[in-house]
Amino acid sequence: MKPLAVALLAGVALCAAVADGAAQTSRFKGWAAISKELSTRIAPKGEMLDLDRFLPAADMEDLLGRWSTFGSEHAFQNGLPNAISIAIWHATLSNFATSVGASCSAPQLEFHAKFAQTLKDLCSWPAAGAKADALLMDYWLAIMGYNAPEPEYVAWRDHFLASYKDRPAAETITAMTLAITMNPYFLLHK
Amino acid sequence: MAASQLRPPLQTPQSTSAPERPHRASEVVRVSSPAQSPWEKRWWIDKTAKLLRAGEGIGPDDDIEALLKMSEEEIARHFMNDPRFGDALLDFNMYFMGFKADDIKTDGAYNSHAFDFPNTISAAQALLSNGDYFKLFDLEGPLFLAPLRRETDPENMLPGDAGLTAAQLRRKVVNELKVVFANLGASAAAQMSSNGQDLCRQLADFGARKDALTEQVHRAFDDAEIFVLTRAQVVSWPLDSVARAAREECVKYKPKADVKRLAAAIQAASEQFSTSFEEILRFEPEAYEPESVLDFKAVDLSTFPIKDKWLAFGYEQAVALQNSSTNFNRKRSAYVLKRFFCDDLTPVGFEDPQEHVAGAHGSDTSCFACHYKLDPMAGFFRGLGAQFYDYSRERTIIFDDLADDSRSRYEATWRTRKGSSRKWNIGYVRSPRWENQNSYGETLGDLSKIIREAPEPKRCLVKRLFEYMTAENQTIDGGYLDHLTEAFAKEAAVSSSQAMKNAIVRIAKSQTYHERNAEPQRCYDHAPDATAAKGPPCRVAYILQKNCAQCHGTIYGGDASLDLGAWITAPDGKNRTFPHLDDDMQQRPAQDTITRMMERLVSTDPKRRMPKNKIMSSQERQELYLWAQQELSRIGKGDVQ
Amino acid sequence: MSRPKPMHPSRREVLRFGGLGAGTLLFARSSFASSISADADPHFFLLVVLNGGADSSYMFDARPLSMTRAGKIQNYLGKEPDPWIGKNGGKALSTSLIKPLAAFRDRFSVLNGVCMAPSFDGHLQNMNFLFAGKPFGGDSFVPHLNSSETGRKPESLDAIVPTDPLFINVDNHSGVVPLRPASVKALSATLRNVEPPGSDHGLVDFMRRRLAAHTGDAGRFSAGSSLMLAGLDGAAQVHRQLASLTAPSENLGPEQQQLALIAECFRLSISRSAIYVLPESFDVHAPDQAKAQPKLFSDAIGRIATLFKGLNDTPFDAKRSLFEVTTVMVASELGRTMRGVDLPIDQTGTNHNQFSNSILIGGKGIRAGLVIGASDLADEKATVSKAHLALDGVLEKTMGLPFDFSTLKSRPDQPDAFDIKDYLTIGSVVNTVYALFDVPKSNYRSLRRDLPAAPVLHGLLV
Repeated sequence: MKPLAVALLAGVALCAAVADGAAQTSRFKGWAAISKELSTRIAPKGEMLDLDRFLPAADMEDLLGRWSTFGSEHAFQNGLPNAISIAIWHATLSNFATSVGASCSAPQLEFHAKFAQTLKDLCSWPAAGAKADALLMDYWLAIMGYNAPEPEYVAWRDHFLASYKDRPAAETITAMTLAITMNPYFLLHK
Repeated sequence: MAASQLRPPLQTPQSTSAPERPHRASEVVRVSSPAQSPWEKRWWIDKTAKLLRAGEGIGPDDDIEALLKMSEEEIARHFMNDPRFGDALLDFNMYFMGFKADDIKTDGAYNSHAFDFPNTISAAQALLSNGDYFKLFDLEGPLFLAPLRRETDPENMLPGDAGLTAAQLRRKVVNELKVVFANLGASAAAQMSSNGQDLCRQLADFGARKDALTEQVHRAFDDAEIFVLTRAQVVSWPLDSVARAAREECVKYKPKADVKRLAAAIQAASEQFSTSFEEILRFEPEAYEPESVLDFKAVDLSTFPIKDKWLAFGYEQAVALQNSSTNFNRKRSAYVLKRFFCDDLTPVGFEDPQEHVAGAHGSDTSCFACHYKLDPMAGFFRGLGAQFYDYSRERTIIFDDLADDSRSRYEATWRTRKGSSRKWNIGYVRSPRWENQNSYGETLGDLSKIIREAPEPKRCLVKRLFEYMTAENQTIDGGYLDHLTEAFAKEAAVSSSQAMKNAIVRIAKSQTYHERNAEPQRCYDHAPDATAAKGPPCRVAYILQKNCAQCHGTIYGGDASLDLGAWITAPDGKNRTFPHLDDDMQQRPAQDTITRMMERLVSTDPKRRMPKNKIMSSQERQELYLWAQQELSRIGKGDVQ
Repeated sequence: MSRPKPMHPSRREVLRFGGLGAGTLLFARSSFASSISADADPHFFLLVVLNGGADSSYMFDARPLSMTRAGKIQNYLGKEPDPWIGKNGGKALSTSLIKPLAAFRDRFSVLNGVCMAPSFDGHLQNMNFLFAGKPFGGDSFVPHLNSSETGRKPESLDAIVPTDPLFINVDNHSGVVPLRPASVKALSATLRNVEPPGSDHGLVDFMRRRLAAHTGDAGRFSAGSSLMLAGLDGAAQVHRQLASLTAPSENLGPEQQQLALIAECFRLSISRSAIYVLPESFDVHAPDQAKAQPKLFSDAIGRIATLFKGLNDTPFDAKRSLFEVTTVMVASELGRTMRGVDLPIDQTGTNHNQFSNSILIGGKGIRAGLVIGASDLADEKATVSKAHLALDGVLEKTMGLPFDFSTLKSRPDQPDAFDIKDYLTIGSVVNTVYALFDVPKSNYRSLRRDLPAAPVLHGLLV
């Protein structure tokens, strides 16, 4: 079947890439999983947030943890935290957080109605109403979900009530969002 | 999901570090799930939702309060009734097969990758409809074609294709070849009463253009689709059948070609081509956009020229599991052993041997430790060459490196010696010594049957499920795994779908699953009949108990003064080891004991190989050996336990 | 939502491989910031990988045509090779294809007859062996060069991979990061517009506290938190480094772009090493593929020469070129057999040969211009040792000659039995690199579990 032989891949380069061999530590969930989690919690039902625009460059999600694609058995790659992946996560999530903070003045993303209301209420910060525990909890759970144990929420809440008590809403919400999304309970998996 | 609905009492910040845990052995058995605070239960619910709803955790439209009132089992089964569970199942099945992706959907549509593993789809569909989940083990079966591509590839288009949509281009290329057949048919009809030489000239020209004609059709399809077209022979069969008829009729010594026969061949080829593509074009994306796994539809293989069952190894596996002319299908064999039997073939007792035995790896070297399993398993693929193309009806087999060989010579590698009761040395070999422990066969159908019936794949499936739900490389107590597997196998005898769901529930209720910060080397779950004991590390405790402790259960009066059921401080005061006395009744150093164990595990001398006169599963032997190897390395580095 | 990656390489794309031109292409002499490496003695490592098992008889371990006429070895180049004599008197034969590298003969040395994984002839096993010293994988040597145990301050990353990656089983490549020229422009631009972590000290301190709260336990999550904490501590610097990356000019060819990126990463202390995988595949089992080797090697050597020229011409700082601060190693995971069995000599492909591989090594710390080691079966009249016959009874393969590690010369004796201690192995090559980078001896590769470390090739070091 020479024609088949001709049609076939000729000397396909050996395939994919290195797996995270030492999975004795938690790894990043990866960009795909994080995007899905956030979308489930704060996007309109059945829709996905366009979060790719917050990545600093094309293909950067490769550095944030992903299952390898095509050409070999799949392994989860680049899931172990290192300085560059933290730098990329930080840059990406900073962009996302800034966008959420900026939504106080003009919508940047399309949100689920419940989250939109929560955000709107929080945007009255530093008014007293914005500092209510119930509202802060709502916001925490919207971004973090139930990933973290309660003491994490308490630490986060107490930090912002103390350190951001008089700061403007956009700045505060940006910082709040970044603090949640850079938390290991948000980013790490297994 | 308002905070008011949660209302956990405000508490002072607590340390989130785990309580002090001295190194200790098997814990007291915990069969039921631990008591949880509402907060922790919400975490469990969210985690389980993500697991069973393809990554979609609890959202604002979920009634968390209602879920909180349910038991964990009820919650898990509730999520398994969710439409998204089908995607979760497909994802797990692909994980089991070693090809998990980040997502099987993008913007709501299934990625083409999701269609590439027919057995994963069949199994997912079966489970969702309470059918036979063990279709996951079938290496032959249906073909699930992905919706045909929506975009054209400008690189491969001809000038006349400009402006066409992908669907239009597909129709165009099909019509082009139909026209070729039609013209040949018309020529044949016009030459019925002639000697057919003119027709023969046309057919010779046609034969010379086969490759070009094939490429012409292929230009409308992407590589994954071409893979299907090639394997199914939907283009090559019609072209070849006409060319073959022409070769037979249009020979110099024949003064008159049988034009009627040629016309019939052309007609048959044209009809076959049309029938095949009529079926393929049913998968146009405008008409076929599955919304769930249950919507995936199988191709009617009876419309293809090859009537065999479709091989479950699809496009990506064909690339990932290439077979070169020197590989003898070992890569494919290793894949099957790893994926279906959880046998990683990590060489037990591997040493660079002083002598390398040329040709087939001989029994004198440590290479045999892998090859006694690898080579017989590889034989199931002996007729499958490049990209798993079936050469079993051909004289020559072509490999992925494009080298070729005589198929009969190649397959002779797996022939048994004269006098053997079997024709082939092909099968799943557990023991090179005791043949009655092995399962032999010849075809991939036989291999599927072996996988279905052998206990190891079920254990492997449960183990992979545990890994998928908790973490890869999370140690699992062998006894607990056996307990889960036993329950699974028993239930699967009635309903494999139900058994799988029950297994998911059991693991979701396990202590390991409840751990936020699990130690990788620690076993959190044990079989119901396990007892607390201060014994060896849990990774190997059960293996030793099952295989070794009968003879090596005490240093007094037992074999070799070795107690493999206990774990004590070694003479150096730093390490821990098994009680093991030398001839002077002194405790041996840890290094000595472990080295001896390793030597006994890998020895091929029946007098020294352990366990003596007993079959130990290769997976357990491997696990024990690897543990011993790591222990030895750790001791050598001076790391303290 | 992230889009699924396109399936690659496609059939059509693969058939276009090797069509890329070689030749010397000028580097734009990029303006550079003076190196911000705090290291007074900067030292980097570039590993160029020829994937698939490159046939060294098309480079520096050639054979005379008489051997082809005698049916012993395929030669689709059809030209008589030339002597390649080292300053140390070591001899080899080189083909005309290496001409582009001749200009750099004072920059590198040739190692012939290098033994890879003796018991395995598979790609993956030998690539694992190249990187980790074990056929089934383990710790790669590349990150060890960036360890603080060398006495140097580690760079932010162990290595970058500006090309297609390799498939290997290694455990310690979390600091080996894919970074392609195409991504750099947008990446650095975006990072310049985003504050690095730590700008808002209060916030990053809070993040650190949360991470620190979870480290110290034995659990998986604690370990991950520790890695995150270490990553966060280094992220600000990496952010600034990446933000100051200059994207390579799109007018440059792919090799130049990749080398420009490597140069930047070295200069900015982003990475200690780089792993560069040539796009060609050298796995030529099929006759048609083997016949294409002259073009294959012409293209590949052209790329290597382009890299060497780039290293030479690209400044590291005001005083030194990149070549002067970088040790370079060019290696494949395997060599190849001389021919296939039972095929005509002009219609044969070749298979794998783990007993004789060739490596080029040069740059900083390496004595250039040497030829070290050799393979047997130099011509059609040569005889082989019993050791060779035991491993390759049909004489399909060349094998490294026994080696004297004190004189760095091949030995004339023909051992009766194969003993790994008698041969030049990849272990020695890696240990030599280790010695160059002051990697502690505890990392050195042993010849076998029960044998000492593979000897360092001291005479190769400056």
